Amino acid sequence: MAGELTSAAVAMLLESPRTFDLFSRELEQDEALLRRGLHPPLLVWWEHAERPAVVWGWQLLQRLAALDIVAVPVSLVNDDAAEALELAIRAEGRPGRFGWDELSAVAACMRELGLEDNDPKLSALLFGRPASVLREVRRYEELPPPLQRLVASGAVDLKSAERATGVPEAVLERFGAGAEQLSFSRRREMLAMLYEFCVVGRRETEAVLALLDEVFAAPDPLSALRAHRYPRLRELERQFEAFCECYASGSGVELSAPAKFEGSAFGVQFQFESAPQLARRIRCLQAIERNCDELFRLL
Amino acid sequence: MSCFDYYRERFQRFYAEQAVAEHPVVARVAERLAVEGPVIVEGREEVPAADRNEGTLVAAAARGRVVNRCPGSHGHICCNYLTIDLYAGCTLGCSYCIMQSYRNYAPMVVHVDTAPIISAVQAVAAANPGRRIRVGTGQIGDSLQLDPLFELSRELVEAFADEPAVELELKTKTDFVDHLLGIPNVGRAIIAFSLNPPQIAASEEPDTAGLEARLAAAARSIEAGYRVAFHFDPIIRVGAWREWYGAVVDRLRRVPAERVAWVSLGTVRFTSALRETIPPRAYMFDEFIVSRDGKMRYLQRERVELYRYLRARLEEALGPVPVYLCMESPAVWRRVFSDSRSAPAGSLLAPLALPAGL
Repeated sequence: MAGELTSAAVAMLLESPRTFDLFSRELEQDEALLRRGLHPPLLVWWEHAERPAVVWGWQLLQRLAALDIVAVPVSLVNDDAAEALELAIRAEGRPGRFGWDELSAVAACMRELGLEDNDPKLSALLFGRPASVLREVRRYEELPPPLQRLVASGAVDLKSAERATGVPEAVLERFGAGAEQLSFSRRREMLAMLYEFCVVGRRETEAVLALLDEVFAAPDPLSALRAHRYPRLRELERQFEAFCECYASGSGVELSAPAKFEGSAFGVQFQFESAPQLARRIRCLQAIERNCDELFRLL
Repeated sequence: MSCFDYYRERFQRFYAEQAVAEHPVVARVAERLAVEGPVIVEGREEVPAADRNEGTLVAAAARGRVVNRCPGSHGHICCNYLTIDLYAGCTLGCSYCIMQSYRNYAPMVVHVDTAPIISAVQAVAAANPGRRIRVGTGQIGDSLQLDPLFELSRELVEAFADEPAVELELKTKTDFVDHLLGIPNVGRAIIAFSLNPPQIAASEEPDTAGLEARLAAAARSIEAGYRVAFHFDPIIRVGAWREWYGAVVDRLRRVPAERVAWVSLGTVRFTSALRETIPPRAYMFDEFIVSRDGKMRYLQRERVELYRYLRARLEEALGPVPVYLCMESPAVWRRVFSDSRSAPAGSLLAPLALPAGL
């Protein structure tokens, strides 16, 4: 009877089909509590199988078996397969926070049970948004292994990984090892640039690996990679910095260039609190005026 | 291969919307294509999914406004061009084509009824007395790729022949001009050719006519009374760009300058959506920055360098023909045209009034 709470032998349950053995999160329950039976009941599907199938609680079951506990409370599930799967996912209690290995297992389970991929409740529970479970998992499974690992570890998102398809595995491995120190958005930008180096620019793998070694040794790897990807823009920035250093350094005048040197106007900004300070700023501005052709050549 | 053999090889299916099923152009095209049909559908959406591909032609009625402003680009100077969507879609396969990123209907659609278009352009001319009306059919398709088959440009050329303000521009990467050469009065019609060095065209414009063929077509067009225009767009910055583009400009020395209506220059640019659509190409591994309109362009300094070079070479080759920049920022215009020797007159760039209900 659905929802009925009863007891089942651990040994028997361990022999049951593993159709719903989907989740890999480590169980954190305290051993002493487990020995006292202070844990949730397992969900067991008894309807259409000769033997009962554990729908949820495989991790718990294995912990209990390891503690030599012989019987366990179970809640019976008599719903159809789709609802059993939904219950299993609900019982995990972490909507939108499943790993890709778990999502792959759910997709395999759906295929095995012949479940349709059109249940918005299921996708909301799994992804926290409407999506086709099987299609999303297929996108993940079609990635080459190093990109799968990056996605599974949460280092990059699925879409960014798909865009990086074609980047040699050696480059991805090196990137994965070095990119841990970067923020998510920086990893994403860096991966996109690696795609450009390897696939669009057709740089040799060895050259890109050497480049990665160099940029990961730099204090700011993303900026270092950008300087390689955009050398002429970097040179404009360098010339502008040199101009500022030469004519404005220490003057209290802040000179700014249009973003990416796209536009026509430079900016100056300063404050002063005494006549000598103002005189110093004005001398700086006069030096800028005398040499401003150097600036306009940057645009 | 004649262009009709090309069409028969290229297009296997011909549909017509009910609204234009009896239009004489439809029967003529079916006969020329030697296909069964046309298959009549209520609307283009009813073309079966299996036939929604580049092997299908759809004769259709125009929807909505038939004359529009060129969408231009936010924060960039627009040349005040008007567009007519006569041919929608293109199968020339240029790698940089912006239509790849926004067109979601694969068959080529041809708006066969030119009468509302002609009326609309005439209304624009009447609403803007004393102004030049530059209008073209090459915005969302090649003006002439299908024109020998449908012969719609002839109707426009003839209709505007006595409109002194209307400059109809037929813009193409083909050399399909011969069907237009026998029109006795072409008025101010212009046949325009996109130009790129053969080395770039060979890799990025696979199904277009070669440079020699386009220039030969330009010569025939001039002989038949047309003015011509040239569009260096997109200019692609390859290592030898000076030599390659310079050599193309040198070929224009043979063109009588007084028959050149204008030349436009535009460097390669793309939206982020197009960037994801374009298969990996060597030219994409250049330094692009995001401009004010969100499109990726070369660094401003490099664009200015390209434009100045080409403008100077054009002036050497053709004299002071009008040269304008397509979708460029005011800062770039100022740097390229600081002496204003060949920039179009300012009045040309003032917006035209479009009457309501076109």
